[in-house]
Amino acid sequence: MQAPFTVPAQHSGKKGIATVSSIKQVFEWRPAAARDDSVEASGDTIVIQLGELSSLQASPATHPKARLKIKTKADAQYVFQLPNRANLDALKTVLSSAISAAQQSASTTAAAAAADSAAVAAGSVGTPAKNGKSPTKAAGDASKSSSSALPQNKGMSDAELLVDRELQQSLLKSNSELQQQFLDAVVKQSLPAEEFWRTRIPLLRMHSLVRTQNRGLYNVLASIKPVSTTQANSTGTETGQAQVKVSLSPDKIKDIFRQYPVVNRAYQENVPPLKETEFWSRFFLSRLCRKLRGERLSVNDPVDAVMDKYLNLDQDGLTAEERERENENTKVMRFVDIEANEEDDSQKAGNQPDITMRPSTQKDALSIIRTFNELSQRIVDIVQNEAEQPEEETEKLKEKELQLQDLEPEAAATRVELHLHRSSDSGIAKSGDDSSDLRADQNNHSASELLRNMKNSLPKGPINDLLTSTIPSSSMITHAQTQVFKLIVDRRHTEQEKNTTADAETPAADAAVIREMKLSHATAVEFLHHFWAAFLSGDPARAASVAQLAASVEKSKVRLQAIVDRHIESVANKDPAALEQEKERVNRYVGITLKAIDSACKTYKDLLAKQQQQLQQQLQLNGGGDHGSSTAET
Amino acid sequence: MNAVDGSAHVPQESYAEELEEELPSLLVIVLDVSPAGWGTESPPISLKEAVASLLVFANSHLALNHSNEIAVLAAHSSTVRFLYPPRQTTSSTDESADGNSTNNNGSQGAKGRVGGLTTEEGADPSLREGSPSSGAAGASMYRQFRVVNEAVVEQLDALLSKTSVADIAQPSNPDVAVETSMVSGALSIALSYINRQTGGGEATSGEDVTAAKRARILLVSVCSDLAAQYVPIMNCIFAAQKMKVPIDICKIGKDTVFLQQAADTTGGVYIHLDHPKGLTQYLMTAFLPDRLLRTHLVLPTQSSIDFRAACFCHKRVVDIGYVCNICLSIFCQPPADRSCAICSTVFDPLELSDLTKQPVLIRPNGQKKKAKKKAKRDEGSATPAPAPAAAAS
Repeated sequence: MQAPFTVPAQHSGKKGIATVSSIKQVFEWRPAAARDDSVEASGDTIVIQLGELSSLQASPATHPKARLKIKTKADAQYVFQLPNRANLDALKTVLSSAISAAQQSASTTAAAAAADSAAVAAGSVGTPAKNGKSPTKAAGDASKSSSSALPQNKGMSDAELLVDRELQQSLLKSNSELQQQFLDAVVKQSLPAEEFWRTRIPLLRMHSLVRTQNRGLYNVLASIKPVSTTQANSTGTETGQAQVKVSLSPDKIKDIFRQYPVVNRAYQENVPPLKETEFWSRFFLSRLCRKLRGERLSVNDPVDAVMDKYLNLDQDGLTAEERERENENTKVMRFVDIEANEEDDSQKAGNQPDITMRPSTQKDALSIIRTFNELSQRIVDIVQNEAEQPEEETEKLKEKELQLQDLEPEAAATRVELHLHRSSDSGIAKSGDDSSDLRADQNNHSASELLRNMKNSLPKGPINDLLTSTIPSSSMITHAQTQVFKLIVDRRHTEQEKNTTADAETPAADAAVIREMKLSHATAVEFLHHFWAAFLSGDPARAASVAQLAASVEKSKVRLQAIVDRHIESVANKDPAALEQEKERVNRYVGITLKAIDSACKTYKDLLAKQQQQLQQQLQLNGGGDHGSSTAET
Repeated sequence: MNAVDGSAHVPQESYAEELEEELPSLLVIVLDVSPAGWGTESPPISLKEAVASLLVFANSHLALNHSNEIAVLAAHSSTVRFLYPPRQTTSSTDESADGNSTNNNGSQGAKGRVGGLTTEEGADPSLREGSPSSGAAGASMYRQFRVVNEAVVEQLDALLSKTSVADIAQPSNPDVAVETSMVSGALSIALSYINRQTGGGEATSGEDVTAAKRARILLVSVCSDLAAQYVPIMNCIFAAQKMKVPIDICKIGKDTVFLQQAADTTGGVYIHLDHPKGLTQYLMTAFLPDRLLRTHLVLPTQSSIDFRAACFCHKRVVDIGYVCNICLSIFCQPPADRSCAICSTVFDPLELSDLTKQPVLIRPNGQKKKAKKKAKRDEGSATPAPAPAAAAS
């Protein structure tokens, strides 16, 4: 069925021809008039991609008219009337076979791609068993996205990022800290990898974006560093000159030709007489090379008859006359043409003070600036050619550059107005009073009593007596002094810790324990994070993983506690006197984490018990036939 | 002492120079006089003792430098009053002393600057010469001390003896005293006063800046419930930070959340007194150095700070709050009417439903339970298949 299948058909009363082309993968209907005046009738033409067709419906055989209804995936409907039943059946079979073929081919190409990536993932992670499933699923995604999604958005949805094992692997490789976390949580503690990545989707997305970026061009000539080695005078063939070694790769040569057309021209004109290696060795010693690098030329530089010819060429590799000819064809914008505007410019002011803005002065002084500007421009041009900017856009850009923006009137800032009510204006303040009542009730002092007590304690009598009568006792002074000094010492410690991050003061054995503690702390936090994310998601599909994560959280508490107990035990063996102090110290380290774990576990258990109870009640209410099966499930 | 405060590393001459300059410094003491704090059966320290300690401290401050200045404010449960300099001399503070205008950051003081700068003690000695308590005993006291001490005691007496039950009772329940005191109002007035005394914010160079640098506030706080004043207090804190005025907190009784933040943000000292009876000692050791000296000292302040905030809707201190993404108001629960109560921004219902989701730990019906079992099987293996993930999303 390579040749297009055509059949006469009517659509909304117009006569026309329906064509099914298996090569172009389209179903097409043209009104008959289109042949004569295709421009006018083109709007009536119906073109449907075969992949877009969702269903075909023919009128029943008993129906007098032979009609075919075609539905597309976009829910559009077309009804065609065919001259007779035979034509209808033929069209229907052709279409249905073409549709299935189209779907198949789409899924096979996608499946092939998916199988490739799955194989990569399987090789690195080791899940060959799952491969049977993934291609079909991925194929479904691919065929959907190929028709609708734009190519740059492909693979960026949360679900796609979550299954992209290859991306995850490469992210882990590039981020060693994350890799450590992954090893601890997923490999050692069997946190499902999916849970691990679910909380890190932004990281994955960023990494996927990073991977699509390419490194741009750079100044090749500057990156080639000649390595000079001095050779002994006696063996030197010509002179006892320093020998310069330059290593060049074909890629670099290509880049040099791209960025410096002068070199390309010199190469084209001279290499048949010269040998390639000789050309390059002479080039790197020549004044031309120095000039292109942006170095200052001096009289002492060696003269090279071949290379010096190109010294006065501009960067495009053109002589002055050639440039002239070239310029006749290209239009320089009047505004930026310095040479053309020279007469209009005052010689004192205008462009005169700026040496870079004079048409042609001493080339040497400006050579380094010009060299780099031209090179930058060239590199940008090369990149822009790749991006294929349309002509109008570049013109627009140029115009924008020419605008004198500091002369433009200042645009008024567009602010979003905020309309604030004081909380006392709105109804919520009233509820505030209730709560303060509650608080006051806890403190059951009557106002009059408080006031009387306070008035009684008012300072009375001569000032001198007041001041001398209330000297605190010496024990109070000592207590107060101790507290202040303790605060100072504590503060000093924290400030020192801030300055010296390395725990130099802790002994080696302690350091090992602390490292262990840090590790299990990090894992515990990781699990807590996942637990709360799953717990608060409110998604029934994740109910199972919540249970699993809750168990993991509990386990992480056991691990942490084990480390602490071991440490306390070792301290108890060594130095029983310091036991209490050490306990307190360790508790300060891990207390918060343990508290967090306990609170998570308690929240989970309480809610689980409550929901189980509710479920039981519900089942009892429902009773009846499915009672047996449901209880078996629980 | 160097061994304790860790100042051994500081080059000695650098602050010796500054000391030679003998810059005057201004200290504003805010005394919380809410009856709920002092009037209980057995207060941690009696008001009499506290006032005596504060006077000793104030006198020490004045003794450090001839031109040091001081101001004392009383923060009552619903008003703020200048104890020193006394009312007659600074008439302009009357209008700001009613304590209701709590939500400002010093602009008021700048406006009221015309009110007169007659805080020099020697300006009108005759005024206080005839005060009743200055007898033979007063003659033996350094006159500047005596002026301050007498004024503070007199004014405090006047303020408290005039206080009636109605003044301190809650509007809803006249038998119960309010738990709070006008700390935010007192801080506003203190900042305004400092602003006025040091020449205001407009002077950006010269002596005025150094003078502003030398001002500080000491708050002696006894009441623990300031949640209702969260916003005004935070505004004061940021104003003080901008003016480079440290706020020191001497806390008697229960810890207060926002005051810790006040000290931390402005570079002040926060001490919760474990032994309130030793107040004098605390004041003399921890609160005496002024701002310039403090850069060379390790401050005896708490290292752990409670950074919690109070919600705007019920004035509760919250652990987990909901913040409006437009006006940054804090709420203790997701808004019931789907819009911000402060700025009326209407929130995205999808986002809101995310916040109010109830955790589901058990599948509701039998049919889904099978799916759960399947999911469990899948997750049991080392790496889950991609298929369930796509289905879940």
